[in-house]
Amino acid sequence: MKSTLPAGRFNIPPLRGVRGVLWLAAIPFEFLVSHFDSLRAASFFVGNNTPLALLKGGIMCCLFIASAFAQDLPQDEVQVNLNSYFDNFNVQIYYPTIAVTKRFSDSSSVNLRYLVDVISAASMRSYFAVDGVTSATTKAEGGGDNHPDEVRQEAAIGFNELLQGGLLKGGSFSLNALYSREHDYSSFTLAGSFSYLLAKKNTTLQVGMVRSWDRSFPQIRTWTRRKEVYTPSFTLTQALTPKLIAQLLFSYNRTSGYIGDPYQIVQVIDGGQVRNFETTVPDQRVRKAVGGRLNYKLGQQSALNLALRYYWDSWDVNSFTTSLLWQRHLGKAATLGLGYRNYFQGRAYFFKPQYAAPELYMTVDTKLERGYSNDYEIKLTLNGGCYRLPVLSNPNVQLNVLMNLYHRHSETPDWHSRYQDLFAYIFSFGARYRF
Amino acid sequence: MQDGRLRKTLLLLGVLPLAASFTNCATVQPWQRGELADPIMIFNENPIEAGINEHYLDYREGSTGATGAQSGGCGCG
Repeated sequence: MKSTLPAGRFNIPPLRGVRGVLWLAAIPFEFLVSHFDSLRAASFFVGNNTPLALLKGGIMCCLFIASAFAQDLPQDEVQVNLNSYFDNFNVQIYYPTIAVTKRFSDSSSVNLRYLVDVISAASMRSYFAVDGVTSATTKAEGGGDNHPDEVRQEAAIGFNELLQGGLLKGGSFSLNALYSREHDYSSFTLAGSFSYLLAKKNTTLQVGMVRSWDRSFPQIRTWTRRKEVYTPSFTLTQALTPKLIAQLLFSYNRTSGYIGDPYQIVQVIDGGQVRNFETTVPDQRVRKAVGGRLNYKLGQQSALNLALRYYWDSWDVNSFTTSLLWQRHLGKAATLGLGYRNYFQGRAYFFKPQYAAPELYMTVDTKLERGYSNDYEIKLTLNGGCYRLPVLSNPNVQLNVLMNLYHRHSETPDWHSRYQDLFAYIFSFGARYRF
Repeated sequence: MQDGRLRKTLLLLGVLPLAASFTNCATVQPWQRGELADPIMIFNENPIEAGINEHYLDYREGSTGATGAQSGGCGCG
């Protein structure tokens, strides 16, 4: 299947040494150049070719290096989370996680994480034997009223290092590897990031790169297909006043290979005849997102977080996300958080509610349909040492309770459940122990 | 064409003021950072919790990225 996409703007060179760092640093500048070149006021960014952006990125990076300060490693801790998801499409997911972070020198730490997804869904036992919501399939063995239909396991290892010498002294980098496996899909991910504190620690610059290699081998097919993902990202965090901090984020994601869902069925209704086809989508997708966040301290005990994100991609899906989170300390014993998130998106150019004839690209995936969602969140953090209770009497312990109510509305009904509205309930209970 | 205009307008409204504000660096002195060190002032103070949220949103919506959180590895997208 040939992609209809034009050649990508970014030619990603091998990320080796300083050249790789400079290339990553150039991404946000390239982005700004390509979007603001019509603005004379923003003359700083004028210019529209990658080498110029690379040069600017390199110069800026060198300037930043000259004023760097040291950073801190993550704290030693064990964190256990018991998470669950339920929705009105009869999907139930339990996904416990355990994570450990441990320093093994003044400048190095390692973290390990393990996650299990246990999925049950009535739709997995449907006529198509697939789950149209999670795309999970029934295992070859197992399933049934008292057994999970799908189990996914994910393990990750990460390494953090503070750079104490050389040209990049004062910076820190992290490298993470993740492997995920289910009975019809596997994924291996490498993620690296480099961050720097600048301007008397008022500015943090972070560049990152995530690279994934996925394999799909559906139970109902005889083939194995591959997917590769590149995700460079850039984050700039700035303390603006003693009570206000801001963040600017940009991510670029290029996915190529087999992106479709082998289990979703497109029905072509031609007159009185109904024929079933596989989903077919372009074999490349370029996704870009830019976001901004502000966190403002209200008095001594509260903070208000506002976040905006604009997303656009090569499949013509555009979206806008707004979120608001208010948090308040309840003395020293607890912290309460109330959040709201609103999201709306456009439709992919090849998505149709109904196909009358076979087309080059066909999909019924609700994620590519026009719609909106609302998410309501409440979270409570209990700090140890403030209670005369068995676990919470320990000051190194923290308990977290998180509840979300999520509603998604799509313009046309979901292909499998036939509902336009998805209501989901997410519960998470977590414990952190710092040692 | 309208999408292009909308994109530029949103970027102008949202990103440029932020970017401009970043040029006013080093206004906060080290002894003024007490409020900023409060855990409720830290973006994604708990990355694992942020990843949990990102996980269910990524697979129910068509967008991803620029949230500061990372999830993935699942064939359910």
